[in-house]
Amino acid sequence: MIVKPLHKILIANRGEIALRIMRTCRELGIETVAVFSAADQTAPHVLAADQSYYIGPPPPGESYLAIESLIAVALKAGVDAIHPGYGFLSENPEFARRVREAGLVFIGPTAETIAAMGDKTAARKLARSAGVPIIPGTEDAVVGVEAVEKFCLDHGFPILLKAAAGGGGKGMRIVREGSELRSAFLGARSEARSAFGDDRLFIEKYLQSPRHIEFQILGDAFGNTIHLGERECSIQRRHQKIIEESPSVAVDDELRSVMGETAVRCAMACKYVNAGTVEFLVDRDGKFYFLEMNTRLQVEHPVTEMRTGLDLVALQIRIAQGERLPLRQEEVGFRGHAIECRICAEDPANNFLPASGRICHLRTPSGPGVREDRGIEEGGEVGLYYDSLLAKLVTWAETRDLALARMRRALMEYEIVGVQTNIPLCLFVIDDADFRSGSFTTEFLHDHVMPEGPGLPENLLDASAAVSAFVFHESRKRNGQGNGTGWKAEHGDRWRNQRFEPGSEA
Amino acid sequence: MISYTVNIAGTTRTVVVENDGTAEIRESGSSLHVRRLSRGEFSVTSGNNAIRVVAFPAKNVIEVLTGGQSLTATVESEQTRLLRQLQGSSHRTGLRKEIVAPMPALVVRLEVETGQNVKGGQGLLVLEAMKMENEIKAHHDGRVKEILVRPGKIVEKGELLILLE
Repeated sequence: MIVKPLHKILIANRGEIALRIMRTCRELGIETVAVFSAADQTAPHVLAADQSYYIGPPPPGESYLAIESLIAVALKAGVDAIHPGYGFLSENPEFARRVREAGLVFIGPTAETIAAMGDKTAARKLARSAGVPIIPGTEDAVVGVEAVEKFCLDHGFPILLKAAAGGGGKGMRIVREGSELRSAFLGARSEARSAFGDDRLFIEKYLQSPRHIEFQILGDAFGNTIHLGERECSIQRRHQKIIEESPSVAVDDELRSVMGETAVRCAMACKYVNAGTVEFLVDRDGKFYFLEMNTRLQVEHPVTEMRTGLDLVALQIRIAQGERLPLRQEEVGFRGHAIECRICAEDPANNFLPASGRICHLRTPSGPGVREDRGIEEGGEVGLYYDSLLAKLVTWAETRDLALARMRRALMEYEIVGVQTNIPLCLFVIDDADFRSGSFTTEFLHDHVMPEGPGLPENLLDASAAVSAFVFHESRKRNGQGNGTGWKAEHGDRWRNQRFEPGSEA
Repeated sequence: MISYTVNIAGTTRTVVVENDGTAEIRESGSSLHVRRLSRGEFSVTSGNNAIRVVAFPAKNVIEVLTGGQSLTATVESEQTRLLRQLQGSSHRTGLRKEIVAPMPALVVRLEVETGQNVKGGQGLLVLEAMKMENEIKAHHDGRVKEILVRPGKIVEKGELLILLE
C-alpha cells in the first residue's frame, strides 16, 4: 500500500468536533473545508475553516445529513478526503461507500465494517464468534410488542429495548414491569425511526447497576491493531454520558490487559481500520460484557489523548493516508488521570430539558492541565436543531484526586450566560462522596439527586443581590423613573421569572 | 439613594444603592462596592474581598452568575413593593389546567384524545428537542378539554398544547 498524503479535508460536521478536527489539520498543514446549514452561517467552525460551503436549511436531514450535497461540495472544493466527526453521518455505511465511490478517502473504517457494527444484532453475533462475552438477549430484532412480552415471560424483568440500527441512547428504553411495556416499545420504535430511519428493536436483559467502560482501539490497513486503554463513562443521564475519565477506578492492571486484548480481538474480527471504540458493561463482580462497537471518533476521545499524549485525529489521518500505526502496543504510554465533563445546553431547573438562547457572555477556564474543546462563541445562538453539547472540559493531573480538584476549579471558572447549562450538575457529581471514592455505576444519577437551588455562601448571595440592584438602578436611571420599575413597563410592576408562572412547567 | 427588594435563590434582600455603586444590604448590614468592568461583568468589593459577578438583564429578570452557579434575580423598588402590598397581591393557585411546552420543540405524537379522562402522571404527548423525545405528563387527574397542536408542529417555549378540565 502506497502512502497518499492528504492535502485538503472536508469536515462533514459542525460544533466542537469540527473545530477540533480543523485544529489538527492546521497543525499538519492540511487545508480544511467546512459545510454549514442556514442556521450556522456565522458558526465558529465556518470561520475557522479555510473554505466553507452552504449545504442547506437548518434541519439536519436537509443539510448535515444530505449525502448528495456533501459529496457534491467535496468534489467542487477539490478535497481528497472527508472526516465525518461523530454523530450525523459518521456511522452511516451508505455515506462511507458513496465517499469512496466518488474517489475520495473516508477518514474512518470501511463501509462494510460500519455496516457490520452498526447493526447491533449483527455486532453481537460477531463479538460472540470472536469469543467476546455478550449480554443475554434476542439474537435478532423482535417483530412486535407480543414478541417482547414473550421474552419477558421467559427471562423476567427488567429488560432493555434497543434500536438495532444504532446506539447513543436513542431508541432505548428500560422496561421494569409489564405495564410500561407497550408505551416503551412504541416510544423506542418511534425514536429509533426518527434517529436512524430504521425502527427495528432488539432486547437485552437489563444489567443492574453496571459500569460503562470502553476501550479506544486503533487499527491500520496492515492488520496492526492496538488499544489505548479504557475510559469509564458510567456517569450518564438518560443514557447520555456526562462525565468520562481514564483510568477507571474499577479496572486494575490485570482486568485492563484482559479487556484490552478482548477489545483488540473484537476489532480484528471485523478487520477494523482507523479509530474505534469497543464498549463494555462491567458488573459488580468485574465480569464484563460486549455492549457495542462505535466505528468513529468518540465525543470523549480527549480523555485518552490527555492520558497518552497522542493526537487521535492525527492518527486517524495517518491511517487514512495508508500509513502504518506509528507505535506498538507496548509503546503506548499512560500517564496520570484525565477527566472530562460535557457542558450541555440543559436547564437544571427545568428537569434538564434542552435549553436554547443567545450566548451573551462566555469566559472559559484555562491554566495548568485544562483543555476546553468548544463549538460556541459569545454572541452565538444555541438553537434546537442540533445536539445540546456546547463544549467539553477536560482536566489532567498526576492522580484522580488532583484531576478532580482541577476539574472543580475549572468548572468554577466557566462563565456562560444566555443559555442554561448542566455545569451545576457536573459540580454536584464532582463533589459527591461516592463519586470521589469511586463507588458508582450507571445508576449514579438515579440514586443521587441534585438538591434544588444553589448552595451559595452568603457573601456571594450578597454580592449577587448588590449587582442585581445596581443593574436595575442603572437601567431605571436610563429609562427615567416613570412607574418606578425601570426595565419594561409592559411586563407589569414586577420582574417575574416566567418559569414560576403556573402552567409553564411540565 | 434608593432602596430595592431583591429576590435571589429563594431569599429576599433589601439593597440600598447609590449612584456611585455603593450598596448596602440592610439585612446583614454589609457594605459593598459595585464596579462595572464591561457590559455584563462586575467586581464587588467588601473590605479585602473582591468577588467577580456576571449579570445580564433578561426578559423580566436579571441573570446572575457567580461561584459556578447561575441564579435568577427579580428586583423591584421598595416603593413599588409597598404599593403592591397595599393593593394586596393575589397569587394564582390551584390546579394546572394549561399544559404548555417547557421548551421549543417538535410535537412528535399525541397520546390522548379530546374528551379522554387522564390520570395525574399520565403521558399526554411527546415533544422532541435536540433529537431527544420528552413525554409531557398530566399534573393531576382530569379530562382533555382541547388539544391545540398536531404532530409535526414546531412549538415555542410556553406555547399552549393541551387544555385539561
